[in-house]
This record gives sequence, C-alpha cells and structure tokens, in this order.
Amino acid sequence: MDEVSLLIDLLSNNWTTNATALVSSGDILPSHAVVPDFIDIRTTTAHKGVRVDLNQSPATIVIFEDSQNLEYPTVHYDVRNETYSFTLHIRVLHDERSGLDANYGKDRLRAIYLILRRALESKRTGYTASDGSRFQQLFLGSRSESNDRAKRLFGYKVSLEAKRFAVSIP
Amino acid sequence: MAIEIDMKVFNELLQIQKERKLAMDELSLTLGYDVSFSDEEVQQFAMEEYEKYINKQINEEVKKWMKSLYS
Repeated sequence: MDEVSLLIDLLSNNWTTNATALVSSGDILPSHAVVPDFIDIRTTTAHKGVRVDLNQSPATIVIFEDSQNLEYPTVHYDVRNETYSFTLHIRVLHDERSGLDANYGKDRLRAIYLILRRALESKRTGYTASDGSRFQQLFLGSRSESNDRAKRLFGYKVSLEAKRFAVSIP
Repeated sequence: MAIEIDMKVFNELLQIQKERKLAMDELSLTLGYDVSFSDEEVQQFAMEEYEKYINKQINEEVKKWMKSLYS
C-alpha cells in the first residue's frame, strides 16, 4: 500500500489500544477516548460519500504527504533509503455536544493529540501492515496550534517523518 | 555567504498551502461540517514551511564553513 494509506493503517489499528492505555493512566477522560476519522486528502470524494453525522465524527485527522527523499548510500547504488515527510492536521469542533463544558473542544483536541503521539511513538521502531508494507522508523516532529474561533474549530498541525532503510533495488 | 531570502520560494510554498485549503474546502463539503483552513492559517503554514526552508539553508551553509575551516 502507499505511504499515506500505511500511516492510516498504523493509526487505525493502534488507536483503541493506546486510547485505553491513556484512559487507564488517567491522562485523558474516557469521554474523549474516541476514534477520529482518518482522512487521506487525495481520496476525499471516496470518503463515505455522504455527509457524516456530527455525533459519529468526533474529530478528524487529515493527512498530507509533504515530501519523499531518496538516497543511494552504497557505491553500487544497489539499495535505497527512503524518507517521507507528512503533515497531520487534527481538527476538533467545539459544537453542541460540549453542553456546559467550556473546555470540551480543547480537552478533546488534547486527548486526540496524546493518543496520536502514543500510537506513533509505540511504533517508532517500525510498523508492518498486513500486506507487508513497512516503515522502519517514525519520528514525530513539531506541533503548532491552528485554531479558528469564528468556526469554533480547534486544531493542531503535527509533522511526522517516516523512514525505510536499505530497500533493495532489483 | 550564500543564503538568499528568495520570495519565489515563499510564493511557491504559499501556493501549496492555498491548494491544500481548496482540498480541505472540498473535504468539508463531503463531511458536512467545516474543517477548512482560514486565510490566516494558510499564511501561517506557509511561513512555517518557509522557516524550515531557511533553517535548512543556514544549516547547509554552516556545514560548508566548518568543512572549509578544518580542511
């Protein structure tokens, strides 16, 4: 599978375990241990195809691939190192579900970020998908806030680097 | 010193962020709620990318200086 799909596979397969662990350790509230929609921006039209019920879409994580860098580190150019850079946008709506909780959006955003970080760090030394696609290293990078008060939208922009080493060239 | 403040690069990065905004607008229509970027966010993200670009240039230049100093 391609790299964005592999990243989505990693997150969706490891989300619940890490969310449960963070609830158990008291880092996040059980009400915020939700599974967001993981969206590959290239396939938006194929995503569900219909409007999503707000109550079923607690948050979204949109994934962009920024760049791919290839290196041929040997004299004979017989292997390749691959580095991929991604940007992940976490978006949380502070909507009617918040009730009287003024911090609903902020707390939900924090919880989603913590689960994301734990899921990625737990696979920092590699993740292999069911079809054999693999990242060998994952490095979570900088995080910046991107809030839109007018839309009551809270967000984080997170960068991620994934590496593959010594991919043999036929 | 070979570090250039090249606005062409910034404009390219800004264009990338504008295209991403369009993609997010489309996604918002599909989802039924608005997760698109504001104009301020587009500018902010482009600035962040430009900052990374300048940092990379400075790193490369300093490495060259260090190599020439010790060679």
